[in-house]
Order: sequence, then structure tokens, then C-alpha cells
Amino acid sequence: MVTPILSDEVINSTELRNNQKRWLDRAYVNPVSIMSGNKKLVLLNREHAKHMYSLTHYAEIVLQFCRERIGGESESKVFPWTKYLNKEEAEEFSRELLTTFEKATNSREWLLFEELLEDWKATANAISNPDLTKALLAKAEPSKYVKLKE
Amino acid sequence: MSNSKSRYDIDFENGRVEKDWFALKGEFPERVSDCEEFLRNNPEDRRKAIGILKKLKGRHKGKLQYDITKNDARVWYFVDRKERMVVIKYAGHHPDKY
Repeated sequence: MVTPILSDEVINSTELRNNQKRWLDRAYVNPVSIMSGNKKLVLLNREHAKHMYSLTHYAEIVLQFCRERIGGESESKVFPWTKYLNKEEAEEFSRELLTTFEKATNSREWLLFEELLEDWKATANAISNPDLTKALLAKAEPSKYVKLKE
Repeated sequence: MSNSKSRYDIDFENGRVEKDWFALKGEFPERVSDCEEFLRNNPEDRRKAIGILKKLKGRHKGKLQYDITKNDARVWYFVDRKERMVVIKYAGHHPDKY
């Protein structure tokens, strides 16, 4: 007895060998499970597999960060650079982390989630350098601008 | 090909930033030229600079970071869309702590 996953179809290796193209075409749309003796295998669209892997990987990270926040940890182990963020920034990061995770889960666009982490990490790294932060926060004075010639 | 009318002007915030930019260009001439082309054409389009362009958040919202090298050569700037102008605020070496 095999419990279906993702509405898959279960076939044996002989059936796969006899109708290879049919089952590969089918697996592109929905998973196809193959029973070969005691071995249980699955044919799965690579994009689906990538999404499932990303979902698991990032869910673990988000869960760990939420645990740290709820537990009142002074420094995050999963995102150690958050120590450079002030309270408002840390809250903004937490909110964006959850909303972007939810969006990526639905849209499967994990690049958005990766970019969010990159952006906040770059922000924290910039804040860690007082000279750089001073320069970035300095009020612009257009009279001092110097044009780069083409 | 980009239309020359749609290209962005690039300004340095002051003479020190200009000097730092050309110091970086002396070290990494091709990469700084690539950066200049990016800033003139697509200064906010991260799909054209995946992994290289970062959009800062929090207190630095509105500033962008372009990584000249993977190590520590960076350029920070903001974009004035109305004037079609990029203003470089800082150029130089900044090792990431994380």
C-alpha cells in the first residue's frame, strides 16, 4: 500500500520502461511514483522539486528566527547582522521577512526572498561602518556635485 | 541599444567621492566601466545586476549598493528619477562583516 503524495500516480518499473514517454510527459505535470521492489521513487518536475526544497530551507530559517524573537534572544544566530539594526528596523525586517516568505510560498519566486535578505544584510553591513553611514545620511548639497563626463 | 536621451547623468556628491571613484577605477578599470554603464542605463534594475545590486532598507532606504567586486569594492548612490540623475555618495572598499 502506497499513500499518494501530491495526487501522484503509482506505477511499477516495468510500466515505466514500456511507456516511458507517456509517463515522463505525465510527470512533467504531476508527480509519478515508481515502485521497484521495495524501492519507492518519484519522477517530479525539477521546478516543483526546486520549490519544495526552497520552501523547506527557508521555512526552517524563518521558524528559527521567529523562535529567537519569541524567546527574546539578544543576538540572532540565524541572522547575526541584525544586531546592527535599531528597534524599528528590526521590526520592519521581521515584518518584511514574514510577508515576503508568504508571497514567495504562493508565487514560487524565491529570488524575491533571497533579495530581501541580501538587501537587509547590506543595510546592516553599511550601518556597521560609522564613516559610511555618516556619508550616506549626509544631506545632499547639489552645489558641490561634480559631474562624471561620458 | 539604449537611447542616448534616456541615459542617466552621473554626479559625485563631492570632489572626494570623485577621487575615490577614480581610485577604484584604477584598481578595477573594466568593472568600474561596467558599473558606469549600468548606472547610465538601468540604475535600479536588479534583474540586470543579479547579486550585484542591493536596495538598502531602514535608515538607508532609497540608497543603492553596487558591488564592484565580490570582496569589498562598493559604490553607494541614489537615483533622482525626475532629473534622470544618479548621485554617487560613496565609493571605496568596505569589507562585509557578515
